[in-house]
Parts: sequence; structure tokens; C-alpha cells
Amino acid sequence: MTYFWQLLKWDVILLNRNRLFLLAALVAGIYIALFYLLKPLGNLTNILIILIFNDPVITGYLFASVLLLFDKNQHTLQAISVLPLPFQTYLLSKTVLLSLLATGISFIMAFATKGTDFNLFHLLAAAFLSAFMFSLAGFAVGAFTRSFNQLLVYSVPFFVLTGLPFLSLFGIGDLVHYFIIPSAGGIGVLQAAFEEKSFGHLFLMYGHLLLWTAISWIIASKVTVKKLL
Amino acid sequence: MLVVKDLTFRYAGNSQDTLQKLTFSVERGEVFGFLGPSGAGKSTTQKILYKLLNGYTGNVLFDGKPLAEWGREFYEQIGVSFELPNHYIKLTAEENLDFFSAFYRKPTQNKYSLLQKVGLEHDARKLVADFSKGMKMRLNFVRALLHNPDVLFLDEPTSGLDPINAGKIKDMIKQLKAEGKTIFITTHNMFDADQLCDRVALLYQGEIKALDTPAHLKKKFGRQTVKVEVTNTEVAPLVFPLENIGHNPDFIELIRKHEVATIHSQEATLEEVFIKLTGATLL
Repeated sequence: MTYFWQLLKWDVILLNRNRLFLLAALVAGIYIALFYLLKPLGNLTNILIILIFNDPVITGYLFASVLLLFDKNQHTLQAISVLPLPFQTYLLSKTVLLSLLATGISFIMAFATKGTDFNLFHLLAAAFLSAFMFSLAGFAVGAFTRSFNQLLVYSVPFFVLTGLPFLSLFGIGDLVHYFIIPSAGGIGVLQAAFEEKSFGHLFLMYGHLLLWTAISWIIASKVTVKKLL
Repeated sequence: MLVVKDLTFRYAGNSQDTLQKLTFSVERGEVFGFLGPSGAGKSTTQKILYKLLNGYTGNVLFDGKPLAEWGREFYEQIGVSFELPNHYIKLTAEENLDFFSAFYRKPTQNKYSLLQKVGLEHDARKLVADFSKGMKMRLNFVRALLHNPDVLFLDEPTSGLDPINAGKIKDMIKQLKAEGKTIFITTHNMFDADQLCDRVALLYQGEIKALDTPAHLKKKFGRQTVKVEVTNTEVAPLVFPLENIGHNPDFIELIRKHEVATIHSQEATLEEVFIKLTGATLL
């Protein structure tokens, strides 16, 4: 674990030097402002779920892939690959850091818009695990890209696909119908943070989220090792 | 220290082997040069030697133990200086060295003393983003030495350096050899190889074409000559084989008929040896 804590410390420094903390705060600020702009329209729980879910997705996915691009462009991955450090620790440290960042921002967004009227545990779990999963997805996609433009092109179908389960919030199918899509479980758990949900719903959604988080870890660690080293 | 036998490797999708039955060994305390043009298989060999590439056939032993049996502790034993700069540009030189030092279990060397050896002592607190390529390359080199490894892999160690700094790096390599380090240099710079290496392997199209000391290779495959320039500018400089020079009638006639401006014996270069063996150039 010493490697992990050392890496985590340096990842905090690198994230700060690359001004990604500032960017994350700006994105959260824009989402909160958007929520307040839309507030006069009525009950916005579903919109809040979309906005809060988007934050871990964006913070996790985009920041992970951008950090990976930085490392690729600076050739630092080469140097890291000949350290006594297991490469999985590199992934884990960045993923945990981005997930914590996204969780913190999701909490601020929820608190700024709903006060304390939400289930803290479900919110934190949904934000952390979703960010974890999407950070890993960001690493996996980032492993195939050489530039930010290429990353954006690859990301569009990814975002469209992962956004599909939001349709269930507006009555187009049930969330279970979107279970093939990795984001469904996280959206389901986030729903439970703002609305009363049955045990069955929670069981299914947590199970889905944990399963996809594990699958993401396996895929990302294999893809990154194969493509980057 | 390093024994390679029948090392063969083919990339997925390729119809030909990138490396074909490479066999060589590097003794403890030796400076071994791996020379060849781009695409010869130098990088692939290196990646295998520092455990970044699997799927090869043949045997590679490091310190008597098959490479595949080494875990991450292998990287405590080796230091790698890559051909391209690889640093976090938003960190200072000092911070970069701190970052990489953090992952070794054994104590690391004094970073300031290392920076001083390559002339970067006044740039320790400067962001690497503001470094020239030469400065970044010198930082690459000292990073490889941080944990005082027994074996060093240096990829084009003088690439991008001006003659003064290239000289500093070469002096450090000689010093490291004197300390008993084993050094594996990959380069296409035959002049550096000649100056630094105890033995060199000439690699071309995935095969070792020759392996010996630079002196033996030059003697075996090169041609020693004498170049004569005379004061009469209408006569072009002439080159004669050194062998039996005293009985060469053309040479004797030239120096009898004309006043000699310069006369030099010339040794074959490793580059000429390489060209003779492969028919290719080193670029």
C-alpha cells in the first residue's frame, strides 16, 4: 500500500498543477447554476439526478483519459513501467482520486440544491462507484487515443450510449430495460438518494453497479497494460 | 550478468520475426553496445530485456535467473534511460526525481549531487516544461541512476546533447564502469560506441551480424589506410592501404615527386565495418 499512498500524493499534486481541481469546481458550478436556472419549471428531481450523475461521469471519464493522454504525450508511462511499482497501482490511485473528487462535488451539488433532503449513503455510493467505473472507462478509451480531438470523437458514442438509461426517468421504459448499459445501476442508486425505493430496486441497482465496476476494472487493467506498456 | 540465447520474437500480425535467434551475453562490469539502424530490432530487444514484452522464444537470464521468474523487484536492480525525455513537465526537475525515488525500496542517491554531475544543479527548481531537450535528456540519465542500480540500460545516451554535455555523460558512463556497473548501451552512434563499449553487437534486420570488441571488428572487417595530401593542389588527396606501404610503388612515387602537405594513417570506423557487413547505413 505504500506505493498506493505515494502515488495518490503525487496524483493530487499533478491534478492541481494541471488545474484539473479548478476545472472540476467550474463544471460543478455550471451544473448548480443550470439547476437554479431551471428551478422555476417545477419538480426537478430527475434533472438533478441527470446533472449529479453527469458529474462523476465527466470528472471520471474525461479527467482519467486526459491524465492518461498527458502521460502518453510526456512519455512518462515508459518511465513508470520500469519502476518496481505494479502498473495496476497506477490505475487504482488515479481512479480512487478522481472518484473521491467526483463524490465530493456530487455531495456539494446535492447539498446546494436539496439541502439535507437526500439519502447520503446512496448518493455517495452512486457517485463514488460510478466515477470509479467511468474513470476506468476513460483509461480504457484513452489507451487507444493519441490526441484530445481523437478522444472526443471516440467519446461521443460512449456518452450517447451511457445516457440512454436517463430515458427511463421520463417514462420511456423501465431502468431494468437498460441493464445492458453500464450506467443503469449508478442511475438507479442515485435515484434512491432522492426518492424512496424498494429493497428489490436497491438490490438490483447496487448489484449491477458493483458488477460493472468490477468488469470495468478487469477490462481497463488488461487494455491499458496491453496498449500502453 | 545477462545471458541471451536464441532470442526470437515476432509481433502479432507480422509475417517475419523481428528478432532472429539473438545470442549474446553481457558480463558483470562490462559496457556492451547494441548497435544498428532504426528498425534493426534494438527497441524490441530492449523491451524484452526490461520485461516489457513477453511472447518471445529462447532464453534470457538475468543474474543467473530466467527473466520470467523475476518479479517487480527486478526494477530495483536495473536503471533505464530512454531515448526520449520522459518527465512530468508540470513538475520541477527536483520534484520529478522525488516522484521516481518514492517507489524504490532501497535508499536513493542524493538528487542534488546527481544533478550537479550533469550540470543541472542550478535548474533543480525549474519546471521541466522550461527545459531544453538536452536538459531533459540529462535529467533522463540521472533518473536512471537514482537508486544506484547494478545494471544500466542506456538508449541513445548522448542523443540531443551538445558536445560538452555529451562528453559529461560519456565521462559519467566511464566512471560507472569503473564502479563495476554493467551497462547496456543501445545506439546508432558508432563513434560513441567505439569510445565507450568493451564489446559491441552489430544488429541488422533482427540478426546479430557481428559481435566483438570495437578494435577487433575494425581490424577484422575494416581497412587501415594512409591518406596523403601534397602541396600541389592539382593532385587530389590519395589514400593507400597501410599494409606494405613501404613497398607500394604509387605511394613512393607520389612522395618522391611532390612535397607532402599532410600524411595520416587512418583506422577503419565501426560505421565502415557495419556498412561492409550489411551494405546498409546507420541512419
